[in-house]
Amino acid sequence: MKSSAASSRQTMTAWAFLAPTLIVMGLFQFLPILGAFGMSLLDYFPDSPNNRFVGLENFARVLRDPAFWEALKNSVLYLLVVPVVVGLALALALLVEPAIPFMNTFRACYYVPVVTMMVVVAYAWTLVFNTDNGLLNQLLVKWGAAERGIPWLTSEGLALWTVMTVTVWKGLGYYMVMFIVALKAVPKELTEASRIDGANPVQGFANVTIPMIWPTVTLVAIISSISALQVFEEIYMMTNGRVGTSTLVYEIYTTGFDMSRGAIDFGQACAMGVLLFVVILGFTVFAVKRMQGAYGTT
Amino acid sequence: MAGKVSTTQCFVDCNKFQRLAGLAMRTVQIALLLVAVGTGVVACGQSGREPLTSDGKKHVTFLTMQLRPAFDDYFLPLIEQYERENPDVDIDWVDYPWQNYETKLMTAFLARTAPDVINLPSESLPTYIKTGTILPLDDLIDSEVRASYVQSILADAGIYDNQLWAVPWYAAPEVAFVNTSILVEAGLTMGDVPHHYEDLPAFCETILSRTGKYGFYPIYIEGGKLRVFLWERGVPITNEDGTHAAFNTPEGLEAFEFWIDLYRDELIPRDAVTATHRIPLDQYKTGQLAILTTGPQLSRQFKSDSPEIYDASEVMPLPRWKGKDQYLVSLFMFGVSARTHHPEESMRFAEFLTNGPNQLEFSKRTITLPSVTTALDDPFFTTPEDSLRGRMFAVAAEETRKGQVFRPVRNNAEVMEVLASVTEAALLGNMTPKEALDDAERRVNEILSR
Repeated sequence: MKSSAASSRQTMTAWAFLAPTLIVMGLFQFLPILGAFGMSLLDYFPDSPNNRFVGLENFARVLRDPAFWEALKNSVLYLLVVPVVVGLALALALLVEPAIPFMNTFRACYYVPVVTMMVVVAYAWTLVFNTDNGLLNQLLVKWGAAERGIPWLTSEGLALWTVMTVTVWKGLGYYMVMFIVALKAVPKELTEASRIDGANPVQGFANVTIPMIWPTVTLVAIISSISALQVFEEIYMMTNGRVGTSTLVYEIYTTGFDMSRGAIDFGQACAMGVLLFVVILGFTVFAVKRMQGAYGTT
Repeated sequence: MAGKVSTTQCFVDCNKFQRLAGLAMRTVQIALLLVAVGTGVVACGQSGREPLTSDGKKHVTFLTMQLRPAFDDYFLPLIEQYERENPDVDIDWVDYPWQNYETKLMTAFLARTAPDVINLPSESLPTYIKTGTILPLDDLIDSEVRASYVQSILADAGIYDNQLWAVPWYAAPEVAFVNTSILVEAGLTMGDVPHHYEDLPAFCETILSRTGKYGFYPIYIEGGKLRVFLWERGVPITNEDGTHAAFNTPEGLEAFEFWIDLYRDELIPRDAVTATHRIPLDQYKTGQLAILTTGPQLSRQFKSDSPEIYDASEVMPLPRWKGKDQYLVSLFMFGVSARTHHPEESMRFAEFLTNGPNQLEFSKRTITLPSVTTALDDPFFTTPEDSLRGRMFAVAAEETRKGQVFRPVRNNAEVMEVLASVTEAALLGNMTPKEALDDAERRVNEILSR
C-alpha cells in the first residue's frame, strides 16, 4: 500500500515536471497540427464569410497539381544528402575524436556552421556559387578546371545538387558531435580485444565500432532525413524555388503564404502539409525498420 | 496453486488497471487543461489590440513598410502633432520589413491583430478586396481630400467596382543610375548610354568586351516582370474586359524575344534567371554593373555603402522603346482594415498622412514622389537643385507625370506566376519565346475564365 502511494507520488511528480513542456508543445505544436488537419478539409481564408467544408477536395487538387509532384520528387531526391551526411559526419568524428592538443579547436571550427543562421550561410554560398563573379568559378577558371563559369545555381541540372551541398556543409558539425559522443561510449576493451584476435583496424571498425554506434547512426539518419524532407531556407534564399528546385515545404510556403506567387490558399497548403506528414511518417517507419534489421537493435 | 496464481494475477491486473485508469484520468485532465489554456490564448489573440486606451482614447494603429527606424524623425513628430490636434485619438505605429511584408500582414489578419491603417502596394489591392480584409472608403473619405489626389493615379490604383478602396501615398518610379567610372574604363561617355532598348545590346557588348563587366542587369522573374516588358512595348496583358489574354501578338513576341535574346546571348549576367532586385544593387555597389535601374530611394544604400560609386553615378530616365514614352510607376497606398474599431478615425489619419504638406516632406526625405497635385507642383520638383539628388528628383518627377500605375488583372498573382514560369522556361531554353507565349496565353485564359 505504501509502495503504491509512493509510486503514485512518483507518477504525479513526473507529470508535474512534464507539464510545462506538454503545455507548451500542446499549444504551439499539437494544437496547430490538429488545426492544420482541420483546415485541410476547408476552403479557408481568415475571417472570410465564404469558408466552407470541402472534404477531400484540397487533397485532390494537390494530387492533380504537377508542381506538387515536382516538389515531391525534389524532396525525395534531397534524401540523398542523408548517406553523405552520415558518412562525412562519421569520418569527421573519427578524425577529431582522439584527445590530442588543439583538437577542441578543430571540433569548434566544424561546429561553427551549425550555429550560424541559415540565411547568412545561404547568402554567403550564393556569392561563392555566383556564375560570373563567384569565388568557386574564379578558382576553377584560374586553375584551368573550367573554361568559363559554371551556372551552379541557375542550371536546372545543377541547382538542386548545389543547394544540397550547402545543406550537407551546414549540418555536418551537428551530426559529428553526435558521433563523437557515440564513439567515446564504445568500450576500449572491445576494440583492443578485436585487435588481439587479429582484426585489422578496418575490420575492427566494421565489426566492433559500427555495431556499437549503430543506434546513433540510425538516429542521425532519421533526423537528417526528416530535415532533408523539410528543407526550406536554402531553397528560399539560394534559388527562390526556381530552376527546378522547389521542394515540398517550399511549395507549402508559396501556396499558403507567398502572395507574389499566386492566390494564397490555406486549405491546399494544409493538405500539402498533411501529405508531407504522411511522407515523413512513412519514411521514418520504413527507415527505422530497415535499420533495426541491420544489427537487430536501435 | 492455480487459484493462488490467479488471485495474485488478478490483484496485479487490478492494480495495473487502477494505475492505468489514474493515468488516463490525468491525461484527460491535462488535455482539458491544454484545451482550456489554448482557448484562452486564442481568445486573447482574437481580441487583438484594445479599441480604447486605459485613459479612454481611441486606439488607431498604422502600418508602414520598412520605414523604421530610418524615418522615426519624420513620423514621430507627425504622430505627436496629430495626437495634439486630435486629443481623443492615440496613434500606434507598426513597421514590418519589406521582405515578406504581405505574408506578415496576412499572418496579422489571421491572428486578428492587423493594424487599422495599412500601407499597401497598389498591385496587391485586389487581393485584400477579394478577401474582405479592407473597407471601401467612399463613405468615409472627405470629398475635398479625395479631389486633391492625382485623379488618374487614384482611378488606376484605388478604384475597383466603382468603389474607392485605398488612398494614394507615395509613388516610386524607377530611374537609371549610370556608373561613369565604368564608362570611362570602356572609353565611353554619358552620350553613349542608350536611351532606347534598341541600342542596349550593342552597349552591353561594348562594356562587356572592354571591361569584363556587365552593362545592364534586368530582373526577369521577381514580380512577373514579363508584364513590364510587355507593358513598356504597349502590349496589354488582357483585353479591356479582362476576360482573355491579349499579349500573344507579334509586338508582344518581339518584346519578349528581345529580353530572352539578351540573356541567351550572354550580354547580361547568367544568374539573372533567378535574381531578385537586391542582386543588381549589390553588383552596382561593388562596381560590377554600368547601369542600375531602380527606385531613386535605393540610392541611399549605395551612398552609404559605396560613397565612391555614388560620387561616380549619374542619373537618367529609364531606357524606353523608340516611340513609347511611358513609364510604369509603383504606388503605395493606405487602406483601412475591415476589422478596425474606428473606421472614421482611421480614415482621418490616412488623410492626414497623405495630405500635400506631409507628402511633400516625406518625398524630400525618401526620394519618392507625392500623389497629391499641390505637392507635385512644388518648386522642389519643378526647379530642383543641381546635384545627383536634385537630378534624381527631376527625372523621377518627370517620369511620374508621364507615369501610369499597373492595374492588376483578375487573379493577378496567379497570372504573374504564369508569366514568371514561362519566362524562366524560355530563359533556360526549355521553350522558344513563341512556345512560351502560347503556353502563357493558354494558362492565363484558363485562370481568367475562373
